[in-house]
Amino acid sequence: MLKSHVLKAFAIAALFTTALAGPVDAASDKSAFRMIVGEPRYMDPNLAADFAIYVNAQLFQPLARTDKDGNLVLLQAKSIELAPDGRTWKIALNPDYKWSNGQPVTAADWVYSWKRILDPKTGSETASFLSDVENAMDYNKGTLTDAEKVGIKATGEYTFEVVTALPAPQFRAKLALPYLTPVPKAVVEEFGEKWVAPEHMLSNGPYKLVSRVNDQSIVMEANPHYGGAKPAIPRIEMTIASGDQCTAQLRAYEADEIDFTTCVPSQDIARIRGDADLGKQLDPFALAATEWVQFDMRQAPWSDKRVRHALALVIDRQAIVTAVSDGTNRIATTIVPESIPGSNTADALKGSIEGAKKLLAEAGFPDGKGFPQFTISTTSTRERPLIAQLLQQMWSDNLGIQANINVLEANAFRAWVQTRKTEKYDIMINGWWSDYADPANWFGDLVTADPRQNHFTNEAFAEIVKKADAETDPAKRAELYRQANKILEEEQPMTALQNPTDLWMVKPDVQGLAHEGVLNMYHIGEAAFK
Amino acid sequence: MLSFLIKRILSAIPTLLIAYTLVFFIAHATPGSPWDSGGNRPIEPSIKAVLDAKYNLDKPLYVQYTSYLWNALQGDFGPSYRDRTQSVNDIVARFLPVSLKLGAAAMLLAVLLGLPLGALAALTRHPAVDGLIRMISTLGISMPTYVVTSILIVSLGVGLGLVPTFGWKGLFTASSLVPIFSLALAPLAAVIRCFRTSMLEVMNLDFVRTARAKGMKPLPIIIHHMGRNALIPAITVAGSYAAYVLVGSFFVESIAGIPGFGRYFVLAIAARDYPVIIGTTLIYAVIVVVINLLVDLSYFLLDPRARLEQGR
Repeated sequence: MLKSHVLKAFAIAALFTTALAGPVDAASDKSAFRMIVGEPRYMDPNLAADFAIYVNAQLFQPLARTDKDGNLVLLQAKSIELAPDGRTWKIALNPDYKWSNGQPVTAADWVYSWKRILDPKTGSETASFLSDVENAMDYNKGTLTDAEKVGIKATGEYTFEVVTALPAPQFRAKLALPYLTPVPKAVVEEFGEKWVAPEHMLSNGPYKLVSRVNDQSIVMEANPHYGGAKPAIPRIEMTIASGDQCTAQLRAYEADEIDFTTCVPSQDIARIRGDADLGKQLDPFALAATEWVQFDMRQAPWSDKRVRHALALVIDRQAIVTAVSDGTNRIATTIVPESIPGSNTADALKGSIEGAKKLLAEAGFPDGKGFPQFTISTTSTRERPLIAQLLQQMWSDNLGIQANINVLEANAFRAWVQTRKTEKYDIMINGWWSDYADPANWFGDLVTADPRQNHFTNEAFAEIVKKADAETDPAKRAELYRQANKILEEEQPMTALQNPTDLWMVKPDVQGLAHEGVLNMYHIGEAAFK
Repeated sequence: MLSFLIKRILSAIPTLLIAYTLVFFIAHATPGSPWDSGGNRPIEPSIKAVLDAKYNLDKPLYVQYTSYLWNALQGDFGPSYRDRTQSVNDIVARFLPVSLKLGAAAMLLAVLLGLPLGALAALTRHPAVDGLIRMISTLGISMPTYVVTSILIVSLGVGLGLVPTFGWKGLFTASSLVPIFSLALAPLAAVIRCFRTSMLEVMNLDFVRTARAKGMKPLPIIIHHMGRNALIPAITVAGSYAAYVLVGSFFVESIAGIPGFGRYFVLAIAARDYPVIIGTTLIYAVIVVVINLLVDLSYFLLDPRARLEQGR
């Protein structure tokens, strides 16, 4: 009696759960390209400075692209010419490129957008990419209020000019940055910050935004008025992930829910590489990026070159690369990656562990005796805490010096790095990703501008970099940077550890999804289903 | 009853005020600023200053404290820094319903399964059945949700392909199965254990024996005499779980890709999105207060003694 009632209760519960279940989604017809991305902080291309540029790149297109040899491949521009003064860039737009409502993309849109990036009220993190432009930084910092004085102006309906403060050869590469795209002036002025809503947004690239649900999904469809080759894939469906995106992507990829992943969790790399099918779908790309360990150059013992050399010489980079990436990252012996002009791996520091011990003894710390206890600070992401532990052990085993590890949450770490401008530290782990394939992005933007608070000051280095920045002959310029590179590696304010590798996975029925540029962009508009 | 209600509602005011004060100062004391969560390069100090001014972050903290409170009292919880096109009110309106729906389904499942299982465990003479039910409840209490969610996704999603591994398509789709089960497991286990214990307690009480002696059928005795009396502790336990199941779990929502309140709340903390942190905490606090009140009110319906005491 009781039993039958209990069974009934079970049956009701079971019914309830199956009613909730509903049908499982059927496998998609292959008209949509499916992927998982992080929530873009900004859909506004004038504001996007993080991974949102990869989402935005499907919608918004820059003037050109840079090929492997540093030449411009024109997109929205019909021509880009540098005037004989070495400062004036004359840009003619290709009138075939239109906004997604069919209206022309004009010079007025471009000029408006770039000044909007610089406008302090916009608060854009991408403003620094226009820092070469005459009066740009004064306007951005608020010391100059007249936007007309900024060296960007329209000279016709489809032509505009950009004047740099000094001859700036690196500006050629910046003209092709995905950060510098246009926004539709009229729409932005009408709707303000809400212009990015799907019902208002106009884009100039291969796709247009069809729908966006915050933290849930983004859907794009081919822009019918796009001036370039029409996309073969008519629709993109992006699901938004937060937190551990790599794990979410890999699971969905293995369950055939998405066509493409942009990373593989480090603990899964060995399994994927060992799998007969999945291993073949792995598509690695060597990034022009470096992760390193850096010293606070302002204080002892780090201001002593012998100490820096000793610590650098006992690092087993192969052990680091194996531990964090199953050997897919590459060993870095110099800060500036090989693919950037001016780099030279022959400048790498050479020596042995015995030599390192001798150097430390010469600096006054035989067998590490008397060496102050110090702290390695790092962000909690990107396997960096693991790198810190490996360094801690290598230094303790080989030199007899003891380190503590201070792991900070990502946002707190960034804020902490900024306060190191005035406050002291010992050692931190950090990294730099090329924004554009030009040595100025490393020797200037990284070392001289010092956003990582390394406090490396060297007169000879500064002089050479200053000369190189203004040198218009590419060969002479590269040679100057090579001299600077020699000083940088000899002084060793930062010790390079590894060059990260992006691990994409692409389903076998997708073709033509290529890695583009130093930022490793993907352009779904150029891919197709087999 | 009315005076009880009024007393409880009045006592909620200082609770909410303390919650607001704590979360306001803890949020602002956390290192990092809303403008530090960018990409490769740090933001210019001058731009930071402009943004601070735009959102009144350059004002002294006590001014921010009072002005936010004043606006919140009028129902305006401020803008979001993480997504400048949205206000906190927009965010709550969009993300809270998703979590509420999932949470309600999970609680329903926990109660509908938990009560019969708890009763069965108490009444059965069969050690295997009791053991099995006890195993379910022990697992449910001891396994953290992120483990449950991951196991369910890897086995049912990646392995068997029965459910999607990620994303949200609505409550009545396969995409809600994993989150509902993950959320339901802990309250289910608690309801089973609690109901089993209290059923055992009332089983041999006089009124049950009397009912049996009168010749009543077993099921009416179990439901009307035992069940109703044993229900009170189970309701209290379910109520304490309801508050956090309803507002959403960060782990379940992050791992299963659910755009819910729990996930957004933690993302806001990572982004130092002060208005969102404060606004969502206040709403969380209100939900906890309301659910506790509802649990207390349910005693009146279930327990005649509570009504009597109030009547005196």
